[in-house]
Amino acid sequence: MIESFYSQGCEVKICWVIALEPEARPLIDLFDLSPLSNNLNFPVYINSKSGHALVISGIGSSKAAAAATYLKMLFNVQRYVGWINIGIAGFYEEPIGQLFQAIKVHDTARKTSYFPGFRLSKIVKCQTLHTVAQPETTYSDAVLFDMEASGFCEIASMFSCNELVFVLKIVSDTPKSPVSSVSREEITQLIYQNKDKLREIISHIEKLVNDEKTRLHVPEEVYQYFERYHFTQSNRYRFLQAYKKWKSAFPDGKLARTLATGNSASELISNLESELFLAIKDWKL
Amino acid sequence: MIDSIFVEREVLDHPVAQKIFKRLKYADIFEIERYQEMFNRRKQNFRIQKQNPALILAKKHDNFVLPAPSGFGIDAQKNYYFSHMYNCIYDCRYCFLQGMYSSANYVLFVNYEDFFEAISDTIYENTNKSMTFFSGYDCDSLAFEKITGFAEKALEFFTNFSSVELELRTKSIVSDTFLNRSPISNCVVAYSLSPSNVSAILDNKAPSIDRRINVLQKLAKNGWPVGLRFDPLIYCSDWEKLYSELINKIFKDINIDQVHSVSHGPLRYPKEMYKKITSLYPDDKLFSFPMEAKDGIVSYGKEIEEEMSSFLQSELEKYTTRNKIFRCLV
Repeated sequence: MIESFYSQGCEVKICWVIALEPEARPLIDLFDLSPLSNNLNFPVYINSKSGHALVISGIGSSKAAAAATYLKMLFNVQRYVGWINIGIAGFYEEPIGQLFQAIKVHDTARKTSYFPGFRLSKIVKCQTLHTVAQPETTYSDAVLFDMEASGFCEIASMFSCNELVFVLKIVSDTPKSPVSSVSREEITQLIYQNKDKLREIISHIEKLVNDEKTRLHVPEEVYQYFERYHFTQSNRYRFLQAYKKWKSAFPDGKLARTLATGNSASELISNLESELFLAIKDWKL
Repeated sequence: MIDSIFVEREVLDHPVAQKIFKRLKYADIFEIERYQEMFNRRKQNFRIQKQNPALILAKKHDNFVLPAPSGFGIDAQKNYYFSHMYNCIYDCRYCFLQGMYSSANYVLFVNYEDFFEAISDTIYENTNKSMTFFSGYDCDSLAFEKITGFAEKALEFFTNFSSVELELRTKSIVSDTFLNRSPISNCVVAYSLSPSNVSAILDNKAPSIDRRINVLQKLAKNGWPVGLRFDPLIYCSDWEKLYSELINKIFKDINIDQVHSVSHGPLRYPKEMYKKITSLYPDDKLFSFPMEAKDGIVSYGKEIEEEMSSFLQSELEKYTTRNKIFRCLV
């Protein structure tokens, strides 16, 4: 299954880490995800067309971290990918069903804070979230409460940049409606009822991911030269830098023509640099 | 507009913080312990964060006043700088702040009183020496003035030290702070300037050159000493024509006596900083120029630098005296 995922030239763009199946179900439907295999340590779902992958972690911050790592290893997830932890949360006040982006995540046990994600404050309300070890019943602070986000933030921000790690929470319980009364069906319903907002959020995240992918992209033609000639590590870096400058200066330039006379790594680098030097006189910004 | 403010618990009740909460009344407020928890941490992405920066209100604890890097000063014996803020609301492509911090959020140190105390101490430690204090090294001095009110306070402070100069460096067209009061002869408003065509491409989100020129001419007319800062000098095929036109435009309608100083400086970066900035914007034409790396500094190279510097010098000497022109070499 995984081999076929790669052989189809698919790539993961969004990784979802979700604690419970009832929380995951609406996303599985919304993004048309299919189970990857029955023999995995964590249930994993994928849509190879859209590049969405989802893992169900189970409850707790260490499980969220482990599941994120599992997904990363399973698909060799690249560093421009968006990571999203979504789930239900306790909150000190109504309304139930309100969606928030957690932009400060505080681990109450370890007394550590994370500040994940590009703030999508124009689309969704932002809030502080406390990750706690046991379900919150007192709602003593004016913040959200969950049991996974801090572990997710710590690990996911190692796989991607901090601005592409998102924590989204939907209020499921408050002092008026305690957590013990929330059923599986209600959890699923709470996520479903935010589906339009979620689509809008995902569309924004996908744009950030695409921009980041473009920024980090190394075109295939560069790898062809790496394969054809012997490059030391330092020459590889120099070639890549020279290539990026050359490409930016001459977006329609033909690399094969510029490098036609080069027979070694240093000659290839020199050819790229020479063409840039020749263009100085007529340099346009 | 700023929609999120992170504030250190310690300065929640500081009068400056309270004023800012009122000015940004629609912003959400989040408490933090120390600004370093979230500013300039590893794995942050300056380019993405720059699309929607938050404001962080913090307390600065030390290093309020620092010696200016050599080559930064004008003609004082002692040059210092201070930074009440890190980062800038503009997004100038050449700005070194992009390479200095991994975070694009704005940090504002609200304990202005400690800055002024430290400046005071520095002045008393250096009596009988000419001194200039530079603001606007890690931020734009005025771009955020309507929110911070820092320049207003700085002007009040420096009226008491008439022999010591303050330079507020800016691209902002904020002028009320100056026009609503009598000019202060030791406070220089220094404008960063580039040819319009260059600025239109590189000075993202900053006021146009024409608007900057209008404001600086207005301030000069009202008796304020103004500085002209052609820094960094940007190379392109018709740079001579562009800089010549720019200089002519500025000087044709300005009271030359109010021009305190003119400086020009090359585009230069420490090697690591350049690497970081170019990786943020690999497709930007500014960074595809075949720069020269020498002694840990990346630049256009000595030949271009000298050519541009000599040209600027001779153009400027058509309008002002040599003793007012300085070459900045940071």
